Amino acid sequence: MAEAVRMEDGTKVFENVVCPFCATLCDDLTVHVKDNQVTKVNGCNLCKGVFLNAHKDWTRPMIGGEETEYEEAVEEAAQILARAHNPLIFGLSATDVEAQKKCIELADLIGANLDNASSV
Amino acid sequence: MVALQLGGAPAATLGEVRNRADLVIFWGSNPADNHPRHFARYSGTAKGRFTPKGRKDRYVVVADIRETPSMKYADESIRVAPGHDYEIFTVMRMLTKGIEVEAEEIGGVKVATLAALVERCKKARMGVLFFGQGITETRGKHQNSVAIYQFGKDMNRHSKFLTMPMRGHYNVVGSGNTMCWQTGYPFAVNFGRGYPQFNPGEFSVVDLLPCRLRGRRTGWITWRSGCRRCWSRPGPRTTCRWRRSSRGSRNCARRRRGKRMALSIINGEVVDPAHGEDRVPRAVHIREGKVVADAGSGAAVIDARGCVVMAGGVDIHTHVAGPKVNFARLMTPEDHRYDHISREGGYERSGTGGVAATVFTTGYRYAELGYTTIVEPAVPPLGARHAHEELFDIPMTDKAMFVLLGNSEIVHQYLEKGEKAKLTEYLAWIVDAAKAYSVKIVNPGGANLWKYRGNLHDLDEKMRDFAVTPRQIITGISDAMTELGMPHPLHLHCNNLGIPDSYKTVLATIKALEGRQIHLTHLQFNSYGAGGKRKFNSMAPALADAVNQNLNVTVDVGQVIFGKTVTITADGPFEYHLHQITGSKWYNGDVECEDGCGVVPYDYKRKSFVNSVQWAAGLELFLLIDDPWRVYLTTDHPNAGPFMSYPHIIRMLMDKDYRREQAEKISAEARSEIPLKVLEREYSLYEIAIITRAATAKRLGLANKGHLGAGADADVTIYRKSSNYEEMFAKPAYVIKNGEVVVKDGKVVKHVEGATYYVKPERGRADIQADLENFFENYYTVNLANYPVGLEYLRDPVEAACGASAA
Ligand code: SF4
Repeated sequence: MAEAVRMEDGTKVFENVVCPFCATLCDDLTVHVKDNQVTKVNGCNLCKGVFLNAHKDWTRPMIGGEETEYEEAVEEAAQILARAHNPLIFGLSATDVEAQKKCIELADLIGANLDNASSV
Repeated sequence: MVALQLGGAPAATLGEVRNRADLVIFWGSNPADNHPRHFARYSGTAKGRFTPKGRKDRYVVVADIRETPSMKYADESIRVAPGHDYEIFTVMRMLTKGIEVEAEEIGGVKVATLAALVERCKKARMGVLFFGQGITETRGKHQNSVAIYQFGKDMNRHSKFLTMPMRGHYNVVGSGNTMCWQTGYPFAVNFGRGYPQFNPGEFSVVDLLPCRLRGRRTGWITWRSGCRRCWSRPGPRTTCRWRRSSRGSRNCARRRRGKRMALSIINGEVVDPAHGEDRVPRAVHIREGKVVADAGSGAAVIDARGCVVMAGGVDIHTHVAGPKVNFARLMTPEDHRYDHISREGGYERSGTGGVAATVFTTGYRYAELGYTTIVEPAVPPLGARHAHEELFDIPMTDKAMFVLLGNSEIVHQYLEKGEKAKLTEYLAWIVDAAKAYSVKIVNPGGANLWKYRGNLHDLDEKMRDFAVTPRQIITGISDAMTELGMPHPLHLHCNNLGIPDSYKTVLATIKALEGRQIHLTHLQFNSYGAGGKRKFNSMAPALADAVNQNLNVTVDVGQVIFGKTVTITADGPFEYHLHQITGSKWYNGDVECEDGCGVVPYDYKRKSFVNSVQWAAGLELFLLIDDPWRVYLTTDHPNAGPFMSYPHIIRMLMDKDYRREQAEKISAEARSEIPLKVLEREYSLYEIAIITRAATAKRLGLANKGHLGAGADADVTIYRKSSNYEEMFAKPAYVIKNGEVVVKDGKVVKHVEGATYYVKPERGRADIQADLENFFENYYTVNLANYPVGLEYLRDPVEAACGASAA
């Protein structure tokens, strides 16, 4: 995506962001981010509700909510998957294609079930 | 989703709704709450090309089981009783067909109200029905959607009418697409047996999870221990599979370009038409992924005794990636069910087959036939990002894609105003924005009329929205491409495809081109006359003559193969016509400002007169065009048949007895019309090498492909000699991609990734920025800034020479 980023008094401003929250897929959002917090977004209420309340920082590795190292988190995830008899990978719809591809590859690798929100 | 799999649907991108829809119906969908900006951006107040007054130019109907906030915005609100959608749409279908309905009320709605709505739909310039999730949550489930799609199809006899679901939260359409191109199915997939299986009542989250978890949309990876089903291979087996595979996958990072080792292929007979070599006993040396004069000491050796050595195959026209190919996959789940490849079968990625195979299957199977370069020929610019996502995933082969411009409204606008420099500049911009390799035109001007259910039939007929003719489109784009120095000339799917007398259009087109370079694609589909008892005959001999005389023309054939397939084309009106004749599933997908598209499964029958004529016409083109450098082997995969039939076609071309045997099986009436010469000529190995790699690579302008001279890419196929040419070409002894052995005895032994070719024409002939901004602001639904595809979407991008740099 051609997201332009500029700085405005300590706030990062992203332009032409695609909104992932409903199938309208508006791609004209301007998102202001300060201290890793979304402070302003020009979408509809649905979009604002989700963007502005995106508190949790999911970019750090965690096991059961406790922060840890990547290696350990990956090991733990692998253990869980290896122990599973009939795993299910579900979701995919709020992420990008690259991540979707990785999920499918993982499902292929471990013989999992794979599903998205089509069925709920 | 299941409804789409069952029957397809008439649909379009939302920009079409924005630009043309004058009747919008929301059925069981409540955009005011669930898709808040839908109304403003696409379907209500949005202003477009033919809806300049926005809301005032549209009639909006909202139907729901309760009072919804969306009703505030509607011209008409209809309250329906819950759970009666199926009946209501069945009645609407009856009303559409003029069948009398006795009941006065159905599903809580007066039949008179429905009748009035149906009349309104029939009169609409473009009507669209958006239906919500609620539809499938009542009795009847997906059958309710089927009824709606059927209603839409019926309505297309009267007006342009679209039926589209408004999907739930998040981009479930996108994830369904990705799943579909990788597994063949859009949801509810299980890999328990090592390949994708689909069963919505068994593998969906609803069936797998305890009820209390249902409806939680945030779950990403969920698992459940304890096996309840025999197929899940419980216990240590599962664990073991995972461990073994995980070790294998660590090689991923290293596998991209492979080990570039040195290799000598000795004792083989080299067939390399680009250098005039016909079964020359010489060695082929490879180093660092290239053919070299000397491999140096320590090179590995392949003994090719009893084999012919050719460059890897180059397919100039095969529909393997992009939105419409993915719709074909979606619509043929029954095909995927019994044809699959698995990890246990030795493939790094599993997949499903059938004619519209998944990305991995496609790459593996091409390699197993000895093909190492393939071209996806028909992507609307708006679908370029999607097409590249799929091409990225196709392993084993190098790839390129053509972008569709013959129905682009920006092109039409410049042609109408006679702004040549701007047209050329736009071409340069769009080819770069789509990361395309060349330009294709499909039924020039036809998509514009199809947006009003029409088509055009003459080179000098004007479109409805622009005073521009197919002749102007073809010559205008061709001139712009020449000016830009594109390595492959205009790739053209002529007007009037598939109908009697279509050959006349081809002759007129060749004349209109006045010597300009042209590639006429799947010419077989345009080689019919209206003669004979049945008013349908093959005019392929006349076209072959024309090709023989006009040295600026090359063609690929699009040979018909008997059996089931699925047709995929940007020629929307043709697909509708085919749907009307066959009653088969039908998907239509008009693309805003750019083109059309249709998908219809089809079965070519040996005993059908028409299909037999088509089959014969293809062979006539192969055998009556004298110069093999100008006629190429394709099946327009999968339109005339799957690419997997290439070895069968090769045998028919090389072995006249076999060809005669095959001809015995077709309709006798069609057989009697085949010219004698067609029964006599036999292709040599040398000529086969021309029509499958040497000539296609040359016409594409891929200087390093299709030959085995020093400096060529080390893509080599070694075929074991046999008098059964089908067996010979179906199972190469070795295929070498980029200097590495990737196939042995017709079976993939190594997963490699190929490169993606694109061109970047020189810019700066005119200033079109303001025009682009204006166009995107007013007619598109995508932001101009988000439209161009970045290089990061291409697997190993290689910029091919174009323009001055090509000279
Ligand atoms: S901004 Fe609103 S309407 Fe647009 S995609 Fe996001 S949630 Fe949907």
